[in-house]
Amino acid sequence: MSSYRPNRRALVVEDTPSAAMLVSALLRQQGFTVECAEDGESGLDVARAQDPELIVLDVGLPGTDGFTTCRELRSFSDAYVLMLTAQDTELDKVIGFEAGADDYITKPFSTPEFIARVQALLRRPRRTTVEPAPAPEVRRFGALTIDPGAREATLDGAPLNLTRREFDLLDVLSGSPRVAFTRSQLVERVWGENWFGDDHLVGVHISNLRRKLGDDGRNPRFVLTVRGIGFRMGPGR
Amino acid sequence: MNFAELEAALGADTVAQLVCTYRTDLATRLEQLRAATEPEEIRRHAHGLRSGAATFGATALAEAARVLEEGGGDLAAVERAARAVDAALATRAPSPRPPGRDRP
Repeated sequence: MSSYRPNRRALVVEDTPSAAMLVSALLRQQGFTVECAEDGESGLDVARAQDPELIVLDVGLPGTDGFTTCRELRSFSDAYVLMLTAQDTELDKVIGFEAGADDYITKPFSTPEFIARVQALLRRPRRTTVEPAPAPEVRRFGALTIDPGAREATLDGAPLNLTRREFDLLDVLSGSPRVAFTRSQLVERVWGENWFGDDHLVGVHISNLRRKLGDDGRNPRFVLTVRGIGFRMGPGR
Repeated sequence: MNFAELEAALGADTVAQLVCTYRTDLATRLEQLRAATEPEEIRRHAHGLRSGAATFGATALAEAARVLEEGGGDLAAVERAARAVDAALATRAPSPRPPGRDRP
């Protein structure tokens, strides 16, 4: 099959053995090496250790549920997250996207649709696959320094441990500090114009970025909320 | 679940193994539900049963499990739906492994 992609890692977080087996078999058939985890905590451990490219995540997991697991995942991983769950209400889907999922499929699902959605996720551009542009100048906002060329950000001289998308968001905002970006504009700049998921995903990454910058969400120094619009860079003071 | 699509993607042997694993899942979840006494325990096992049933397109069983998960219905309705599903699947994978087997 032309979609075969060797040497890619996927993680399936699912507590129902037959469902885990089914999804694993479909992913292996697509060329993935697949790890399985039965609950959110062990799924997070595997994700930290193996940095999978794709994570298929159930919602109704024992212990930590899939939504909470997804939010935690987003603090350190840019993996494509596909929620696959029996939770099928509109509200469940919105919560899933807000938690940082890239796509959401409800059970029962069709095999061709599942494969097509996985392939669609993998077609989305990732920053690491893009040719590097000429390095722009280092930017300073109070105690925050951003070096887009080195893809490094420091706060009071200490390096910040940002995920790719968190850095990309900071790069876009700090590159045009007087511009208020809408969520859609940020999605287009960071995820690409072909991204077709939910714009609320931006809020999850902004929230994680603010936490790492030590920003108070109600009175932020670096990433400001522009009411009715979206976000823009603050002066850092 | 459209078994023709699944067999086209994975092959008949893998699908037979999947069905066998699901039948074992189903038996295990039913045992857990029968033994459950606390509402949270019932909700959790009913959800697990619903998730597996929904994955394999057993919509009547998934719906009966959903009602139980939400605090209504009764176990007898779930058992009836489960028997129908298991009988239909038995033609594809006649001998499920006993509960307590390894993960896939």
